[in-house]
Amino acid sequence: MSSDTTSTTEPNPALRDGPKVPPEQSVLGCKDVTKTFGAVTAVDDVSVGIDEGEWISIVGPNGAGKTTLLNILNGFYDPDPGGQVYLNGEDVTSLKSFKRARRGLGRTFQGLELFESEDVLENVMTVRAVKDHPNLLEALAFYGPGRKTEAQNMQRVEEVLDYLELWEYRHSEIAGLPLGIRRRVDLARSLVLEPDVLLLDEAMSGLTFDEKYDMIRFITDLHEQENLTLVMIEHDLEVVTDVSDRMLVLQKGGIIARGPPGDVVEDPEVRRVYTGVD
Amino acid sequence: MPCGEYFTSYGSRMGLFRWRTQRIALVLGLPIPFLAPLAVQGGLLSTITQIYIFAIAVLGLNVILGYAGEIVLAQGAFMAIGAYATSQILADGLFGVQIGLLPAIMVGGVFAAFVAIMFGIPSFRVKGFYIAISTLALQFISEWFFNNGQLEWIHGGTQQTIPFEVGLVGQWFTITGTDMELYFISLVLMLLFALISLNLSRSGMGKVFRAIHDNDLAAGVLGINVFRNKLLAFAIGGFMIGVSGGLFGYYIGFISPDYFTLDLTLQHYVMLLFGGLGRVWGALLGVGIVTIIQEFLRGFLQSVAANATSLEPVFFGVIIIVVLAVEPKGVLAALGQLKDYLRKWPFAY
Ligand SMILES: Nc1ncnc2c1ncn2[C@@H]1O[C@H](COP(=O)(O)OP(=O)(O)OP(=O)(O)O)[C@@H](O)[C@H]1O
Ligand SMILES: [Mg+2]
Repeated sequence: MSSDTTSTTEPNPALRDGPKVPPEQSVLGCKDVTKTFGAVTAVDDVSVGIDEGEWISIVGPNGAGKTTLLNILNGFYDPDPGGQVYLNGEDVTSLKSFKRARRGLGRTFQGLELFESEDVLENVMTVRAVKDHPNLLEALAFYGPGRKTEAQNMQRVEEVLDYLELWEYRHSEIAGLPLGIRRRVDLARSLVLEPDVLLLDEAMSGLTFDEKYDMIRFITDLHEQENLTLVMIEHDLEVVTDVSDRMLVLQKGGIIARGPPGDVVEDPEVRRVYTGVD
Repeated sequence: MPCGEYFTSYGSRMGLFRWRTQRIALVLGLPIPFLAPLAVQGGLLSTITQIYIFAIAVLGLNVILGYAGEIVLAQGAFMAIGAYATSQILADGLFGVQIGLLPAIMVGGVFAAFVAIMFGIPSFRVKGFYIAISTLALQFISEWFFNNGQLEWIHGGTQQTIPFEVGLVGQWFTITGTDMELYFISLVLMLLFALISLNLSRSGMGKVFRAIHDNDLAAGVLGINVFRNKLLAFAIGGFMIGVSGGLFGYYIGFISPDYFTLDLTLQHYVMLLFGGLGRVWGALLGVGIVTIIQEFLRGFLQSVAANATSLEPVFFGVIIIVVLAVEPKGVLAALGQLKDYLRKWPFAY
């Protein structure tokens, strides 16, 4: 896409601007976020602002700090003092991760983290129970409103399983399933909370070509039909160049480029990082 | 062709007794314990009553260990708290008011739940092993506490006799503690807590407990309030164990710290492991079978030599090792496999 020839030799200054949306007003954003683990600086002074309905991809080599940034956004880690995280225009820096999830921030895991001793249906039902659950007495008596809530939850879960073509696997134990199916279960689990923003951590890693194709299809549909804001970490540049609205390149914890994917992948600095590593 | 299971409504899918065979078993099986006293009396009836009482405590342990996955070694302490509280309330009333046996037992359960929550709070920061150690400390503190005569102003006396003649609720429905009354009170309470356990297991709350057990980090990120739910499991389990303690005190008619030692904790672990962690029916089966074997063994050992009964703990040790080696999921799972095998017999696939 990049038209002028200089951009392939000189770094494109347009890709070195700050966040497109001010983090304070974004659907999801962070400001001046740094995270150190002992001597390692995993995330280094990062500010991001994501707009409603956007599809952002975060790319970068191994150990660039992608997962750590996600963990800070959803509250699994606290940023070092001075950093701030915003969700729907509110400062949520001190809000626990389970509360952020309830406010519409969903995520999947690079390492899956499924509930291994349950079957597929249970995995998804469990998370759905967070959204709507009977009170203690109703749960213990399993009668009246409690029972009705369970039935409604089951119905919603069935819709999601159906949507992700997981219906036939609903009674399968997690351990025996192929990776592609397990990644879809992880996705289903995050969807039943009906998130506004979904964080995907290498949802395609380790998948076969067909499985990747299926996954991209589901995610694209969700983005279009549900107007879901997506933040997708991806190792593989090619996978996300076509589908995402904006791309963000991390290296050694810092953002080295951000902007339209077409421009970003043409950027000489980005290319150097990638050809140097991959 | 739809094979395997096929449900027509959400309601039937979540029913406790989903299959016709299960319903038939319920209709045929449920009257048995209610009619049993016609055929069984004396020592055996009393033993069965004790099975029901311990079953409540083991179901409580099942909530904490089987559902939430926390190793709590203070079974004796929670039962002691329930028993001493019940005894004191029956003797002096609650703020001077005689509330009767069942409410007294429930208040005893609340005391145990409260202590369980206090010892569950560290589970927010520390994991499994440390909770095991801190609750083991609770067990020893409890044994010291109830053995300490100087603390009589709190616990009301190291050894206490519980009056048999009490109102069931307030001063109404006076009972005198006959074998038959004890049997039915214990049976009804046990069934009540079994039903509560089953409901807990199939409701969202039970699922959440199991999810935390499986992967608490993921559970938190997915919107589950891990801390609150862990404490809830401690509270529900502690309550049930405390209720069992209060009922046990009334059943014996006399309480002493000697009943509520670490041995009791281990005994309940054996029962739960034997039946299968996390399974209500398994827990009930485990309590029943282990108690019966134990009774036979005790009789046998006594016939061999007067002091041979001290070998009993060896028997528990052997059960634990055999169960863990042969079928770690307990006898219920083993029965399920046997059923599968028989259904396919004589074909090996
Ligand atoms: N909990 C932790 N404790 C210590 N160091 C950590 C921790 N989490 C991440 N790091 C370090 O921070 C850096 C960034 O890790 P991170 O997992 O965020 O990278 P990533 O971009 O997701 O890499 P990958 O593509 O391999 O998933 C690495 O050097 C890693 O070793
Ligand atoms: Mg990562």
